[in-house]
Amino acid sequence: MASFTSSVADLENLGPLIDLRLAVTTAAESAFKAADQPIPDPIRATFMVHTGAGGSVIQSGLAQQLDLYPVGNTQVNTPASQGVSCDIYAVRFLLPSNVIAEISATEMPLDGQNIQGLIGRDLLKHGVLVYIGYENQFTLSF
Amino acid sequence: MSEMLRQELATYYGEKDRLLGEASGKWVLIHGTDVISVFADESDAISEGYRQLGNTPFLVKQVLAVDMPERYVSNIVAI
Repeated sequence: MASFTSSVADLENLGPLIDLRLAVTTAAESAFKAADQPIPDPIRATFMVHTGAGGSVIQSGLAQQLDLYPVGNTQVNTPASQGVSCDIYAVRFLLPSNVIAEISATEMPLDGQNIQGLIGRDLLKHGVLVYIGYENQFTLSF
Repeated sequence: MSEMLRQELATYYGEKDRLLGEASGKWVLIHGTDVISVFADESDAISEGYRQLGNTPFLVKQVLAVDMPERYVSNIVAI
């Protein structure tokens, strides 16, 4: 089982943040190659582990930086809105300790936040999250 | 409504009753007005979409009688 532990100076205020790289999936890589197009470089981004998120989220605009198009669409409910139509993109998360996850992430605005995405329960269902608040640490294992 | 998948979503809802009868719970791959195929798994449908269609907008959607929204219990997402 691959595992990594992150220390966040003020875990209570900032939340469980992970510096990761966002990339196109292997299937998209093959499509780029087949079209003789360059494969977009991965993007460095900061995501937050969020057990209150049903699915993982990427901030609006990130998929366009990777030259990706939507592969799905879903309705989203939040405390403020219901039934908002949002596009889904197939992306690859390159996490610390060489943990790689290919998932379908929902594109949403994350205005005013210090993060570019959320790691939601769609990914957490495959792993173990240990949150050690008094140590300002958390561990994620897959 | 998604701008880039407007046609695909219209195709899905136009074909939804038929799809429910034939492939309830499965994942359908749609491009434009074409229902390409259904798959047991979402990732297989997406991979086939890239293989057949390349890097272009396409819709992979689970065939369900009632669409299940994704739920977010905080207002981090600004919608």
